[in-house]
Amino acid sequence: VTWRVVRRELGSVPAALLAAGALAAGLAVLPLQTARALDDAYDAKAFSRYAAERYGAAGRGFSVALLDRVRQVLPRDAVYYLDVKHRPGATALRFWTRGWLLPRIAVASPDEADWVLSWRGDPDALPVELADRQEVAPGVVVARVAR
Amino acid sequence: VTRDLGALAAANVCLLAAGAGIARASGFWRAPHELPGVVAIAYVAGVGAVGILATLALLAGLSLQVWQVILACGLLAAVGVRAPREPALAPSLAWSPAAKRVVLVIAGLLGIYLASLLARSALEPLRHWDAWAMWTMKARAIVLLDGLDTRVFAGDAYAYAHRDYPLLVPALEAIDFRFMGRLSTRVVDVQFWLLFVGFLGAVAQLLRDRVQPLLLWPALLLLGLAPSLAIQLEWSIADFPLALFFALAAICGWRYVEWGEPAQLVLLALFAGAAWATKREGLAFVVALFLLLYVFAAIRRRRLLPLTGALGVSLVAIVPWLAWVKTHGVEPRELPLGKAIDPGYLFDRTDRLGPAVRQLTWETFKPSWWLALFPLVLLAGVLALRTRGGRGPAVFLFALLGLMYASLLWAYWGDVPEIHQHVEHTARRVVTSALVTAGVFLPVLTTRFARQPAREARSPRAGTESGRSARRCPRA
Repeated sequence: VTWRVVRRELGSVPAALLAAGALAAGLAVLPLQTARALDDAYDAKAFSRYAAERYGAAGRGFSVALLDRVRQVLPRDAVYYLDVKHRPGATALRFWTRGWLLPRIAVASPDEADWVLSWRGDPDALPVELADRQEVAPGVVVARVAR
Repeated sequence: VTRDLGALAAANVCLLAAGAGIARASGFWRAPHELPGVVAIAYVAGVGAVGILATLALLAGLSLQVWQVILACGLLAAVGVRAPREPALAPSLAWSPAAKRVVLVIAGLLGIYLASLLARSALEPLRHWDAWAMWTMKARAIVLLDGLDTRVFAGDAYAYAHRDYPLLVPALEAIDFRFMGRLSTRVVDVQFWLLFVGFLGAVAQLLRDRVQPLLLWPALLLLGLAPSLAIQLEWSIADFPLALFFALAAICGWRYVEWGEPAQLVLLALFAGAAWATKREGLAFVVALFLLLYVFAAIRRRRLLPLTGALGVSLVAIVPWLAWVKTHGVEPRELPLGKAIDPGYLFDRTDRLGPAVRQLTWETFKPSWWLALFPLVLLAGVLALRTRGGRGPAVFLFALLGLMYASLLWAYWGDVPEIHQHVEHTARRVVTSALVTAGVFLPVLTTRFARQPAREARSPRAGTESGRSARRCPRA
């Protein structure tokens, strides 16, 4: 019936065939696409607000809960240097930390920083003197740069 | 979630009001009962306009507080106090009751699918790396640091976040966060969903006076259901809005050169500006679009001055940002322009072309991402080339797609990262603008070899060039 209507209304077989092709391609995936979206929505419903906000970092090789503790220690107006060694997850940690610790500002060199966050790094190897060290967790140290 | 969604809806009502003002000032609606017929056009225009203004406001030192957004939207809405006498769109094409039934079923199915995407967008957390590391991070920075803090936006520690990328997406997300009163990244996908729905509606409303509904709605269903768009909607990255703005700019630009409708230039300027202000790839795409519009406008003896005006207005969206980037020394490192036009440099890197061509071709035709979209557009284009009325849009589209792919290829050619990994990671995203544009032109091409039905009763443009051309009945 649809074909007859389309064919009659359009008055052209090629146009009707193209419309039918587009319609068929769309309809072919409609149930699957809809089911997928609903399935994803159902799965996502289980996330609490707390978990959802931290989902981007999940499974990236570091703990966001630890970063939450860092947020409690590092002042909101801190300018900090992130000391992290190259290892799996280090890139994700660097990227996530810069967003998650805002409005604290990250800098590219310890010389420019007022604070250092050492994440399983080697704070003693940094070219600045550190004071008021606080070990948030084993290997995770927040310290002020002594000026 | 409900509270955040309500706040996001309130922000978008403001964007709609701004767009409604622009649409009325351009003649897309004059009486209140005409507004529903262009509401999607108005909404997307509002998102584009406020997105551009928000970028400029950030450069001017503002911080996108709620009162600033409401004031800007109110001023844009006030632009529509006076409407021109001439309507921007011709009356819709008439539908037979049978066609109406078919279209209603298609629209209903598309609506069900979009509702399922809404449920997903409202509940899914932000998961894509680029979204949380770059786009939404910048939005968070705007809110938490009260504007464009150079320690972040020009800071070396944030170099990974492509500091040179324009700010429309972070600015829109920041507006949403401001209305929410908190940084609820979970529902920020809904902003992209609203833009997607607005885009589909805007295409339907922009083409309803030129394209048979029985051609328009199957094409919209195909485009709307393309798995690539559903996936990229979930990613919440800027390639997605760039594609939507650019495709609308292409349609409006084409309408100007084809039918000489000056009101379309307002939307062209707005959508081209928004594309420019969304992502760096938009620069090359919009330049290619305007280049072709000038060529076609000259061939069809359209006035070039208004087109130049549209180009000038759209430049306002990006030139200040480019100046800021230059001033703060955060130009892109990946594709140094000086090197990318150096024949010697490029000649040494020709081995990059093969993988780039292969991957771009694969991503363009990949049925699991784009269904049968590109083959159907190619077929429609080839058929349209054989008709007198269809040659123009077919050549225009093929030339536009050719230039867009050439710009992508050139970027991959001159770029620095290892090509195989780079192209595999990015090609699926960067083809989006070309494919969405191709998708919106599919019904435009197909209608050239279909019978053109009569128009609905109102015919205010009768006697004008636009009205005459609208009543033509092109056939194969």
